[in-house]
Amino acid sequence: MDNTKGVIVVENLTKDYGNNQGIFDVSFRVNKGEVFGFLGPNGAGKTTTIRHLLGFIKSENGSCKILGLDCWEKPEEIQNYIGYVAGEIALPDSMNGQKLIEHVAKLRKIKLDRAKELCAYFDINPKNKIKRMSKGMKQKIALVLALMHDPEILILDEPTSGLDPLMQEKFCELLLREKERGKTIMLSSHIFNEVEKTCDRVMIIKQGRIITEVDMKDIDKKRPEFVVTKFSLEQYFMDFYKKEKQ
Amino acid sequence: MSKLFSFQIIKRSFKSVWVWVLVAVFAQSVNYFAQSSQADNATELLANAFINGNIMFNGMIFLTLVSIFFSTALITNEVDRGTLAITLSTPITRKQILFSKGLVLVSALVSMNLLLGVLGSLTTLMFGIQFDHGTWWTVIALWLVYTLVVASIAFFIGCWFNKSRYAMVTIALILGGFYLLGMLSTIDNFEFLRFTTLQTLFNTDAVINGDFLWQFIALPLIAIPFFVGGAVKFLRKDLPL
Ligand SMILES: Nc1ncnc2c1ncn2[C@@H]1O[C@H](COP(=O)(O)OP(=O)(O)OP(=O)(O)O)[C@@H](O)[C@H]1O
Ligand SMILES: [Mg+2]
Repeated sequence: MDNTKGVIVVENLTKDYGNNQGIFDVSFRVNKGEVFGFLGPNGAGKTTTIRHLLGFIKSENGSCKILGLDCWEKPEEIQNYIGYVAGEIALPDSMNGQKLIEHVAKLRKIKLDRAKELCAYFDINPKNKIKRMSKGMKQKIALVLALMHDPEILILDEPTSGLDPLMQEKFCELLLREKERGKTIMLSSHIFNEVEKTCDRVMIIKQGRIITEVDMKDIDKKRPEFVVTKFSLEQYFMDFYKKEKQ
Repeated sequence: MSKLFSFQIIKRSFKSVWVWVLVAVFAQSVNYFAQSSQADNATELLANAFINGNIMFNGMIFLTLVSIFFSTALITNEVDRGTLAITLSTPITRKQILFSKGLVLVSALVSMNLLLGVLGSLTTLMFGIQFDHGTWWTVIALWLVYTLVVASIAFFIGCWFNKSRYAMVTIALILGGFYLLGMLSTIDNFEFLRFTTLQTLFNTDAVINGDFLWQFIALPLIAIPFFVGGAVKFLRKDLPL
């Protein structure tokens, strides 16, 4: 781990839900301008970790900081710099997409220019009632809400779930463009293809504990070992997923 | 001010409760009409409409329902459905959410009771019931303070629970329990039960006798710890968003 000051710094974060569920002693840091992949099987603790970063839950032990600010103490300050996509999107059914976007713009005290661009980019008609929207459409609205204030840091919990392959592709392109603009991105995902395309560094969590952290450059080097290069990352990580106990 | 309240949250929250204000006022107006034939004077009308009336037309029942809807619609539903995550991933603080929603809750109850006061006095005019401004508005004020206590309990529960279903059931059990105890306490041998129910503190006879100050002191003293306790819990708890 290098010594540059991390944008997201998590140290010994612990939340014990009993029955060996929760997260235990999780530490990592995400540096500026980096795309950080966060992988792990279902129930591994990815969403739990991210909830700490957003200030939704309080850790039992350890700390997490974003831009040097404590995530539990100062969430409102941090929120100015974060765009967040939740693992389980919940939008108010009674509103229509446009109203919701305007509502959030008012809460953030920002203009709607970028929201309009994003709606066009993702090909959404936000005038529909959210109640009648398909899963993918809701997901796209959530993406617009997370990106419309052009945040420095993106925290994305399975951001492409429900999106069709074409849209997933478009989203990856967008991420890469944001990365070029110097944004820091933390991406939790089950889609290896997407991780492989975008991430600089990847961490695996399993049963609440960090198992390994790899630089994508090193994976590229390992590639020749695999017969099918296309899914090298998947093969590499499947071993970790499948291991009975770490 | 801007640190405590968010105008945008107030606006949104108001949209989720104003219908219930109207429903309650409408129901209670029907109630006035139903009770008007049996009341000799205005205070009796209020007492009947709010507390003594029959089970179907009873202010206590409406109040219980309205409190359930208000506090769960404002607080618990958003946690339960997870939509609070949208607000909390903007620079809005939990404190601002709490104070804004608390303000909506209190002002909904105040406007509800003002409307009830005005509509009730119109009813007395229509039916030629003897009316005295001082007593009338004192009873309305007492009812308002009483509703705030009930709302504080519902608010407290709404803040502690993450599932609106459980919050609703718990509020209904507690407030319904008070109502039942209140009814039982009117039966001869069960008079002691009046010390176990909140309803004792809505005493219209005391207002008529001019001995009502203690109620205006006791009720807020009950409400404050519930509001504070709910707020503290909401500010500190883990939100399953
Ligand atoms: N509030 C809670 N109370 C009790 N247990 C919880 C709570 N929240 C999460 N858990 C447990 O903690 C573990 C981690 O859950 P988490 O949602 O973080 O997993 P995840 O890595 O995001 O999984 P997925 O890939 O399915 O989204 C799970 O076993 C879950 O059951
Ligand atoms: Mg998850």
